[in-house]
Amino acid sequence: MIIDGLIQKDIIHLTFSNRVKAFKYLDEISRRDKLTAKKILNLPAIKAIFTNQNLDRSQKGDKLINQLYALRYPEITRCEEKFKQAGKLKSTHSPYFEGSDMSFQMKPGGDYELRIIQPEK
Amino acid sequence: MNCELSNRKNKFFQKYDYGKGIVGFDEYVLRIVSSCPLGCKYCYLQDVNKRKQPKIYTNFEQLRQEFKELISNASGPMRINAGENADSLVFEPKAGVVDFLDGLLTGAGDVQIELRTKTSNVEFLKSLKNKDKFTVVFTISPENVIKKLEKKTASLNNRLEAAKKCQEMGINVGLRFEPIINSKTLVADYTKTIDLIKQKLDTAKLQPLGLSCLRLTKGLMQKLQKSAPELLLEEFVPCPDGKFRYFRPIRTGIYCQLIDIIKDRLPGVKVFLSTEPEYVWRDCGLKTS
Repeated sequence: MIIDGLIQKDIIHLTFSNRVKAFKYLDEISRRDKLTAKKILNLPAIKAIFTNQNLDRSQKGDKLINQLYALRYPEITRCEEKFKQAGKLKSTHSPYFEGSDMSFQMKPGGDYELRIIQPEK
Repeated sequence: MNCELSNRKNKFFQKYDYGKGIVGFDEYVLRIVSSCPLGCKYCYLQDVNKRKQPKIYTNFEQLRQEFKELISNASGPMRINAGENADSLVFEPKAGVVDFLDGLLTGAGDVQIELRTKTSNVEFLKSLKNKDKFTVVFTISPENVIKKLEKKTASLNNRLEAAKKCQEMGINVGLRFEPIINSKTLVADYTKTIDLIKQKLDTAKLQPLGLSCLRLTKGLMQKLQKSAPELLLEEFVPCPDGKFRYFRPIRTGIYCQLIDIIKDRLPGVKVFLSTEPEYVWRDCGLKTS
């Protein structure tokens, strides 16, 4: 409902599939973290998207989806980010890090495997 | 528990299909019951069984023949899991399956049959002739998980009492923490559970302890949307075998924490992972051989 309001007010644009994703993520975050959808959309990181003058409506929509994904899947997002920072290797790990290939793809300084062995607490 | 009697049309014994990329243990599965009446909410049987009434296959002579063929072709020790598609003890002793298997095991060589259960129904096992050839594996969850998701099963305390009885009868006992369900209280819940195990059982006699996090088929995920949607709020990812599991660092983190607790409180008890790829064993500092 709130998402629909944002679309109607021309604040963001979401494709149909992204709208479905937005509802799904919001619902799941809401149930997991016991937060209302309104509270989630009022989180500073999300509010900043809506007020960013440098983004058009579609870019805001895409950023919103990315931000909601990051909230819904924090561990996956964290690993993806670390992986991007560790080397200049994008998308070369197995999907969702299920597999061994990545161990051989890391460059010196990338300690992804070490972090997996010793998960952060 | 209600059930029907029927003849099995397919083979009773099948080589266990662990799934693509999953570490296996060269086991056979014995399918003697069509489904399980315990109805644990996370169980894969919720997805595969359309019939509610379980059937027990009673064409035991076919079973005897298949067993004979199997052991005559075996080149080494044989492990048979009789609890893959139903609780092994839930229909016993009425079904008479365990008694029949006991008869088959006399003089059968190096064969071990695993009876897997979440019940405390073990009294009848005292009359087994081949106690050393059975392992009763109790699937263990913290009491709060049992109350929420395994409502028709025995309480944790009763399961451990039953495990104790088995040990006193001279039957091998194994434990599986399966499925491990992630929660904010996981470490505290399992610490309490492990302390209870230490208190109740002779841990020196325990078989290696198996750990396995919750894994779901796509069909089961759809079913859980209605029956236990809270289970789906974790970060699940598709794995090489097509099942969905917690994201790798999450389950590795869970395993490492539990292994630490087990090492600390149950020294000497070996740990293995059930239905995980080799790279997860490595992540946890475990060797597959």
